[in-house]
Amino acid sequence: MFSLAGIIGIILGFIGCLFLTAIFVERRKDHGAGLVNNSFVYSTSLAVYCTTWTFYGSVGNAAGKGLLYLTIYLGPTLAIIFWWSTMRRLVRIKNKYRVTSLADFVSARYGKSLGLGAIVTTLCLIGIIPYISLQLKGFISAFTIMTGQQVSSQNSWTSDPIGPLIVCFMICFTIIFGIRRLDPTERHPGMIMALTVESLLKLAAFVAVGVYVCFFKFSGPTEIFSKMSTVVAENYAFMGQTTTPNFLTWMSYLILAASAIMFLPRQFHVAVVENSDEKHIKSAMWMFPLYLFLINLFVLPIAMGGLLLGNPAKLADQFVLSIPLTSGLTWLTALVFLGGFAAGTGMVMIETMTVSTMVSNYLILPSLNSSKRLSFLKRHLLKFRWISAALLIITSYAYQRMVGDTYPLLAMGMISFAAVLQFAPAIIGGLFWKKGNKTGAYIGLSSGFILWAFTLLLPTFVKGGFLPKSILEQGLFGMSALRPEAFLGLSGVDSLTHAVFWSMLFNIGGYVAGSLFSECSREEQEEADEFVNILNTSLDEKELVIGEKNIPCLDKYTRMEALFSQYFNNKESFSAVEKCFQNVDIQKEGRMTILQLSDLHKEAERMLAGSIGTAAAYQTLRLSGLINESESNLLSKAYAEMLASLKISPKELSQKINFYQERESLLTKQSDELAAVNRSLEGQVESRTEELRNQMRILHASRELSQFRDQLPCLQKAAEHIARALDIQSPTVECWLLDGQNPVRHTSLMHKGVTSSLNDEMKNLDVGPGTVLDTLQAGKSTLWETSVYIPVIFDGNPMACLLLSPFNQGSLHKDVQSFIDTMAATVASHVSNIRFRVESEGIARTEASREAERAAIQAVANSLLPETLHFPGMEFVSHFSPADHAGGDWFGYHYDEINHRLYFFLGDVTGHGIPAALISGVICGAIYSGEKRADRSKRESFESAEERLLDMAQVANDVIRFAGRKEKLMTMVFQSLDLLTGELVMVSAGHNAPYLVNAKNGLIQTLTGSGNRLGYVENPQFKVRKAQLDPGDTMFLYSDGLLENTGPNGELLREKMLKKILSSEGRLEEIKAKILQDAEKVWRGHSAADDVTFFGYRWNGAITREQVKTLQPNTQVIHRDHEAA
Amino acid sequence: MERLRNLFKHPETSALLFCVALLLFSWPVLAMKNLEKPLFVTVWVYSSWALVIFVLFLIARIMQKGR
Repeated sequence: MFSLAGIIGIILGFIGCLFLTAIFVERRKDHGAGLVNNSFVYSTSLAVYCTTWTFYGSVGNAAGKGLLYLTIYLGPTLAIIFWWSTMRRLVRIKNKYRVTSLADFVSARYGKSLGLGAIVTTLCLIGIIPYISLQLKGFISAFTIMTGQQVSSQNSWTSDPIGPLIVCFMICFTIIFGIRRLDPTERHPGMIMALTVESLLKLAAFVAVGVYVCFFKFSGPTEIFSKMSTVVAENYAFMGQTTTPNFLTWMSYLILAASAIMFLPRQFHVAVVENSDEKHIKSAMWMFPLYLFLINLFVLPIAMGGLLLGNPAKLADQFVLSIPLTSGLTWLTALVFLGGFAAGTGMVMIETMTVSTMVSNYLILPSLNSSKRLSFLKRHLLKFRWISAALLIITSYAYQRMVGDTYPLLAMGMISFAAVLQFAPAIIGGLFWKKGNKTGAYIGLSSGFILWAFTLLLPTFVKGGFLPKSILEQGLFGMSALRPEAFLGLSGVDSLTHAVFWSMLFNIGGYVAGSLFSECSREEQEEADEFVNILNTSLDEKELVIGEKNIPCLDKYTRMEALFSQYFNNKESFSAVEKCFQNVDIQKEGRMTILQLSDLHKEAERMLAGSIGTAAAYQTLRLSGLINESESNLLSKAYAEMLASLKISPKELSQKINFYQERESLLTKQSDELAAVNRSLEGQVESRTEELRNQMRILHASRELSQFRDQLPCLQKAAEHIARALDIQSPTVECWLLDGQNPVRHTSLMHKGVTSSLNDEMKNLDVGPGTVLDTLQAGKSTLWETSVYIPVIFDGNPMACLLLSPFNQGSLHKDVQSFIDTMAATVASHVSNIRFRVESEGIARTEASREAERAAIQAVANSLLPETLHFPGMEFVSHFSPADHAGGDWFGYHYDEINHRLYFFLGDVTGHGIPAALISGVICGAIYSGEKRADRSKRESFESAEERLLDMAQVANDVIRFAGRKEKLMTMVFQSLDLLTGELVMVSAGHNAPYLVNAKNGLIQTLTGSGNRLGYVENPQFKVRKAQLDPGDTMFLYSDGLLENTGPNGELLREKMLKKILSSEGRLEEIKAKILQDAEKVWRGHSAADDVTFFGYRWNGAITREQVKTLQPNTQVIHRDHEAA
Repeated sequence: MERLRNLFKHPETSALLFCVALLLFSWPVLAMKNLEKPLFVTVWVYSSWALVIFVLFLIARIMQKGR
């Protein structure tokens, strides 16, 4: 036995160790090293589920009801199978909504209803009292055994100090460890570590007792099981009493235990509120069942061993402590006592803390808010929690004292289990059923709570003697249908199954019906959606803090890999995802902020857009769930916070946004304009540079081209320059030269051209924009396939076309085309100069030749034409002006001193030029030669002037036929004037008829002759004409040039005008001047087509023989009058 | 391993495991009466329990490695 002081000392020592541990952990946590943030501590702390009920009650239950105690632990194992789905949801909801209790959760799910929270709190408060009572009963029982005292609930509190002492102790313990601070949302690492220590201690103690019983009291479990039948009752069955439907009890216990592991306030707190990482749930899913397995491994051996050792079955709840105590194992007894103490204190501490928190939040605080006079009390909320905790423990102690002796531990615990089962429809439905609403929850929870209280709680008070037993036997108000343990006549099942059935029937039915037949608000519906879809996010609420790296990257990595694998193979999708993470500087093993997630989303969209397009990428990312609804909301909040941090009103924000948008727009516009100007300037600089470079090339080429005197080499050199500028390697050059309208092709200029006519080649070039003619017509260089067509045009006149190939750059750049065109213009200028030079040289040569011919003709004329005759009694005038191409006019005269006759000759050879002049010379020579011979022979052979003239004409005809090779003809008039008598004899060989001007009356007689042109036939026929001149009469002979030469517009010197002049009075020189003057007025300097020759003389009367003898014929009186002409 | 991982990802797997575990925890316990085979029943229940825990352990490990 232990003394009370010794037990208190042990307890205080244990509590001191726990406190130090808690303080140590709290401080370490404050320094950032959380010892409790691991799955082992989390899993072990869940063992707060194992209370004194487990520690002491399981053995008692096993001793009387077989394996039924296992359902309390198999049920949680079955529930834990779904934890990855259910518990994870709860944890995420807790993080998101800062849920701190069951009431918070139900309230948050159903429209933040305070009423529902109050119902849950009330149900917890009432439902948990039996459970805490159970713990207190275990404590008191353990104290009793340890101290050897007999304690009963019938004793007064004053006579039995253990109970109140334990109550005080538990109140202090709970306040110190659980609710010494106000903020319940903060996890309690120190408390959790204390729970872990307690869990390990109670496991170790229980296993130690089990080992001791199995292997020290007996030879092993086999011996115990073999003797089992000797100690248990005949109706002992593993499933419980054989008189009841065992399977219903078994299933009811399983269901209750499965719900309890989640919905007991302390379990909810440890598993949900104290969870720091949802990954711990996965470990807890096997660690916690393993703990339950181990702590229950020796339950049946201890129970059977205790019975086999002779202990009464009634005290089976105490076997765990009584066996080592009676065996004298002090250390083991103390260990077991501490184990049981730890099991109880942990449960009471957590349970009281959570329930007191709910009470203060949902019962006290709303009450204070409803009254202004009490509002000052809100500052003392923590104290209210302390009071609530104290009242709860005290009430539980009172309940224990009322019914503790009536109910075994198991039964008391199951009442609480059945109470928290009422939360299951509202919570499970809230997690998975969107249509579940506040009304349904109200109806379900209320009806379930009422049924639970009626079917389970009420009988405890009846059996405790506080209510009449008739309620159980006859029903409430005497109505048999309202019998608590046979509600609506349902009997034959144990009271727990009965209560579970009815409470769940009404609870679930009310919840479903209320939800289906009522409508919820939009806000509640949104919350329902978020609760049901909470697993679509990888975040919990605390992690959903803006700026904190709380989003697991690995989850997003996996999603992106799955997304990309739809479009790429595995290697490519892996590479793409890796690149996305690298681009946003995120490690896939770590966590990221919501803003980083946003960046990652954009990067993924950008990456995907490169393969499937922008729109498809946007849709794909939107549907991928890479950013789930919660994260999307958080992102919106992040943006909202950023805006809120600006501390400006919405109007100001809008204005600022507009201002900045406008400013950004302006800046962007200005930037774009500057960039455009810059680009333009750069382009201009580049263009100018290229232009200068081209100018230099052109200048250089021009300098070279100016040296050529032939156009083809000039074009060839130009083509070389252009080909070099166009970077054409091994160019083939063709050149088309325009000869009038007929282009001639010169192929392969580089290899010395081979020419062919355009007609041969134009068949291949007569269509398409690249043809030569099209190019020349277009007037600019053109690219046709791989050939560049370059027109060479000067002053609008096409001159040539160059074809360069191969040009493989696809198109002619503007600068290139400009260069080519400029080069072509330069070439055209040079070619034009060359052509002009060649033409000028040709013209010069022609002019020189013509001048030489004119000089020659003039020389011939000077030598052939006679000097002007001055003869006594005679007046003479003559004129000769050769045509541009020189004519064959000639005139002359001869004096026959024997017969005193003057002979006149005037002729015109057909044709022009030197040949005609030479013919004239020949005729001149022949006539003069004949006349000279006649002078020497004294003219004996000629009887008369007629014969002499005919002889002259015949001789001239023969000479012309000989000298002119019968190709030249000559017209001629021959006259003979007798100076003494004025007798005129004339022979005309087809020449213009001379005019005879009568001096007396001015009448003009045309002396028409008749005869063949000289040289026309071998024996020409001439008719001699005679006329008599009177003194003063004038004879005028002329060639056809006088009347046939024309002016610029074809004007002629008319015969009528000529005769008028001739008929005028005056000296012959004056008449000559008039003729030339009027002729010039007609001709106006127009070039003469034929020689102009005329000869005139006036006979002034007979000349005496003496006057004639004094004359020296042809030497004194003749001067070169025609030179002036 | 990959197939197991994919299998455990589905919530239906948890339902299947629950059904199997419920069957193991209930039968033959529910079929046995009194003390016909107490050791067998006890070993059966505890073995089944251990088996379920082991499967849960495997699920946790496989899922953890998969991540």
